[in-house]
Amino acid sequence: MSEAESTPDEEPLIRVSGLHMDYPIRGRGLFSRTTGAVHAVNGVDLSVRPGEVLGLVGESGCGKSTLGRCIVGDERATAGHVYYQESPGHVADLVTAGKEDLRRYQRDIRVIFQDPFSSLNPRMTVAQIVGDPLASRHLARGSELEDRVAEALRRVGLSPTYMRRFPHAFSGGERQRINIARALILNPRFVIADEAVSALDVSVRAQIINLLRDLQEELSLTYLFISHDLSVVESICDRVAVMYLGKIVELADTEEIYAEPKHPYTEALLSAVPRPDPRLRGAGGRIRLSDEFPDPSDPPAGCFFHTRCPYADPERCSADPTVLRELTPKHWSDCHYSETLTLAGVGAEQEVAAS
Amino acid sequence: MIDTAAPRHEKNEVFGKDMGMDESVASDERRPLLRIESLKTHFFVDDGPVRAVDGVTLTVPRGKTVCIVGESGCGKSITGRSVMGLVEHPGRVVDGHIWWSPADGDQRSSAGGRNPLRRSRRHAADSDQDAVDLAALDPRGEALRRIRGNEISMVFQEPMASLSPMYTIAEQLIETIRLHRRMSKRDAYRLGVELLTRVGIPRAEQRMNAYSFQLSGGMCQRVMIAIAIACGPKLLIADEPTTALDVTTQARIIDLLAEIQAETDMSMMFITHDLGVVAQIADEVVVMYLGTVVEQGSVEEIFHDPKHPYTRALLASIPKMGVGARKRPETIRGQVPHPLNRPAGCPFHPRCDQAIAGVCDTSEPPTVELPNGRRVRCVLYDRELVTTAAKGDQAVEATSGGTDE
Repeated sequence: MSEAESTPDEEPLIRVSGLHMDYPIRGRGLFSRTTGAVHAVNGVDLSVRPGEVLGLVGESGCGKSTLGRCIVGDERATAGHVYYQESPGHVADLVTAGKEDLRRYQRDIRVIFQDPFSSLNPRMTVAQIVGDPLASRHLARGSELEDRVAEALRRVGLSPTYMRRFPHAFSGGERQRINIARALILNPRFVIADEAVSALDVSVRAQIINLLRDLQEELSLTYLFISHDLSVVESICDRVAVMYLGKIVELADTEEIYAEPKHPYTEALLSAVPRPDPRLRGAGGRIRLSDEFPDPSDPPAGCFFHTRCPYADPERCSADPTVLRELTPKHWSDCHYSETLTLAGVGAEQEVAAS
Repeated sequence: MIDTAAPRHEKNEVFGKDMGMDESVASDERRPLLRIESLKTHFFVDDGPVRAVDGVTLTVPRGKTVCIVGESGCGKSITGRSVMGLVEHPGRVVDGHIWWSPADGDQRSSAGGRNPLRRSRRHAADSDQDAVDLAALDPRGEALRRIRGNEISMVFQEPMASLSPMYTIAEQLIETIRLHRRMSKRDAYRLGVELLTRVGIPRAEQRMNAYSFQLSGGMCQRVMIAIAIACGPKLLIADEPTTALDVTTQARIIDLLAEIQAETDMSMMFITHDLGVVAQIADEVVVMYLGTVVEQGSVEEIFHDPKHPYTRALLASIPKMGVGARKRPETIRGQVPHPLNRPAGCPFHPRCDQAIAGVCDTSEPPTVELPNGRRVRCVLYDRELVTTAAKGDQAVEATSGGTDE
């Protein structure tokens, strides 16, 4: 049984099943042969329920952004399926869908990118940027287009009078609002926020997080929130999936995964987050992972994480491949020893410090 | 720790404690390594001068880590670059002093000779005699070049971009070492291997011949740190050294910097926007906003008893882990104004919930000295100003809580 099949109660909006994304490595020369492959996504099963915010966390290079790109169809997955429930009873596979169909589905699945400075074309006005998804699909033009742009801008807290301006006139927070307006103008159902607040200043970041949450409620959106920042993820997500070397290694409800992680990698990630309280210096067990990340073109045998895992069993972990399994209802982990390890989460010592 | 401005002396009596120079210095027997006084670094662009750093005063004590924290555009990086003489055209230091006293007050190198009592008597103004004013040196001159990379070195945010992809790690390390120390290439190579091992690079010998693009971001940052500490600097300026790294790598780099600092007693000026990192590494914290220092104090006080409304708002707006899912973070309304469009009076007043109309929007706030060498640049802590304003406007109840502490 895999996570993708485990939600019989409710058909997920997006169901990823056995997804692989390999990038070929070519040798030197003009007619180079493929000498290997980077397994950016290495067999992912995941489902996103309507109306939820699913967090996807992991270190850079773990494949979290690639997974997002595969889901939205920017990359054609090498193997596996991305099922999208277009309407009740009608499920489409985005991996095998034809170009025309995919373009139609992409109206419903939009992406908000990270860098508010490089993701906006400096030669286009705000109206052109925000209205582009409509204009390029010939869905609206003239005054109707303008009205839709104005509405999208108002929705993200910008004045429609900004329409004629160019992106350079805006601050990071405002640019990210423009990005969000562009993502929302097609009235999508599913939004992938790829590090959408990572480049923002603290005070602005909180504003954008709250904006994303308000929009979610207002427009009944479903989010995949990709981020490396675990403190932000906790503040916005209902469930969190932890990714390592192309695989999901743990998945659970947010509160549970932060309080009681079942995978040593999750524990290490949580303990590495610097806590904004000098009294918590060195708290959280101080697990320090080596910064030598294994080569995704040649992942280690057995458990992918065993080369950095402080609890690794030299025999079993370096030999037996891991399988993501449901430990307790809705809590998944692929560690061989999830049942027996006692891992530290966050939360308990926070209260100690407060008292 | 603090550059106590003499005219402010009488203000301290408000707080029931004499904060005279002698006492406050006695707590820190040695003269600060670096003292920045009313530093102004402006950029002369077509649209007018951008006051990136506009009257910054702060000190870096010996063997301590001072974190400069603030949002983008607050001038924290430019402050660090001003110390290094690395401000790029069209910017330049237009006013103020950067007093650098590498040897004085601490005769560690030559045996004995240190007299803490004598030092404690020393008035801040006297230090000018044997300290060097880095702001007065030619940024391209020989004198500053001797200090830069030798006594003061710097680690930058983008480790990948700071290392040249054209040269091996060995070549870049040896070049730096030999630039400042008389040493044969072979000795420099050996020292290079030692340094790489010191900063936690496994198989250092092999890594010497690697190029930067063959290393991960964390490894590159370790190499940058190795280069920075190669000459045993007295001050390391780290400008967002972990911002581009993963949390796991960040944690290890912070550990490494703290370790090196404890071992060598070097001082560190750590520039970051991340309050989590500040809480982990700082001894002292300097909070900046729009080119000015709004508050300065020990890390414990800044986090557990913040005074300035901006510091409070900043702390409230960071999501805290372990408090449960989907807690709405508090926000600071508005955004950091464009530097060409600085508000009059207190630069934070348009976003401040406690701003007093007629005071905060018209006059520059005073810098008020608080006990324990703390300083805050806000009228709320100036009893005189607050009471004058309260007479005119009874609706400033919010402020009384702050001043009674």
